[in-house]
Amino acid sequence: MIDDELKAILVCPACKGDLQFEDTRIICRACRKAYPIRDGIPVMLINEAQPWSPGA
Amino acid sequence: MSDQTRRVQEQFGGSAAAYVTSPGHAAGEDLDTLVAWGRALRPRRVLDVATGGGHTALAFSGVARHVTACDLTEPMLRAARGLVRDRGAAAAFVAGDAVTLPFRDGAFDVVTCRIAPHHFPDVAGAVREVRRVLRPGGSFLVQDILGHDDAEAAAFITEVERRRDPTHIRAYRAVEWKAFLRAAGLTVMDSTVVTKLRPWDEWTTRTRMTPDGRRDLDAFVLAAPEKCRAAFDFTLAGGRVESFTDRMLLLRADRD
Repeated sequence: MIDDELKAILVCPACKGDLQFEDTRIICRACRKAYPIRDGIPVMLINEAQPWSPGA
Repeated sequence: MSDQTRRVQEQFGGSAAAYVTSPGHAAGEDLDTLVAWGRALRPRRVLDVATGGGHTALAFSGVARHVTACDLTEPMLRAARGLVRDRGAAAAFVAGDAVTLPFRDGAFDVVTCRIAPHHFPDVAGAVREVRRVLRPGGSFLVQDILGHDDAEAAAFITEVERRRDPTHIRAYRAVEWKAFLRAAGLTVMDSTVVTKLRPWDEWTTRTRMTPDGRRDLDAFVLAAPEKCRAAFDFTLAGGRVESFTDRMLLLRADRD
């Protein structure tokens, strides 16, 4: 669970744009990337992101 | 993924616990100085870049309401989170690379980075990212091993460091640090140098050196010119290395 204080300051490491928070991943719609949340830790590493597309 | 990123994740992923218990990281005049600088700034939000064992984040949890700890290595973050929780403190933990920080422009009043930039492949890029995530007037509190002004002594200690930990790139001289900071738009407000004694056995075992590697490193140190050993106050006893002394540079630089 990522607290609101952290959500307020997290951005995509690649484009620095806003993110969409889900339970197990964090999505950058602009970059079409999903960053994993592992063991409660957001893994905001560009090379750890999975490709993401709307509706997938 | 860059080779250095992978090397750092492998090196520190396997030795995370040793960095949590490392006495040189847990406490000292260096950490006390950074905390004193930080406390005077009365920050609300603090970011610790390359938190490692989490000691700086833990110390700053007593200074600021919100502390975020960032590191390239997930096992290191879990170890740091364990330390902070065990001490009854609170911080947020995020896996992130210093050159692509996942934080909003101007999000932090203070950014700290302690004993880490000598592992960074792009210090200038990391300092630019620190400036970006600082609010205008915010402060970067950075500490790292001070590069030696004598080229031969610097080459000697860099070789010692790399044999011990292949992710070591090099330590920078004060003039180089000031250039990194100035180029990024940060102005040095305060600086000091403190010494840190490195007990040889703890220092060489923390990075999981093999017995052969340690024997070779001892032989390398013993065969080095006396002036190189003297530059770092190496102490020897019975033909064995006992300790040496690093000088640590501490800088406070404010965003213009």
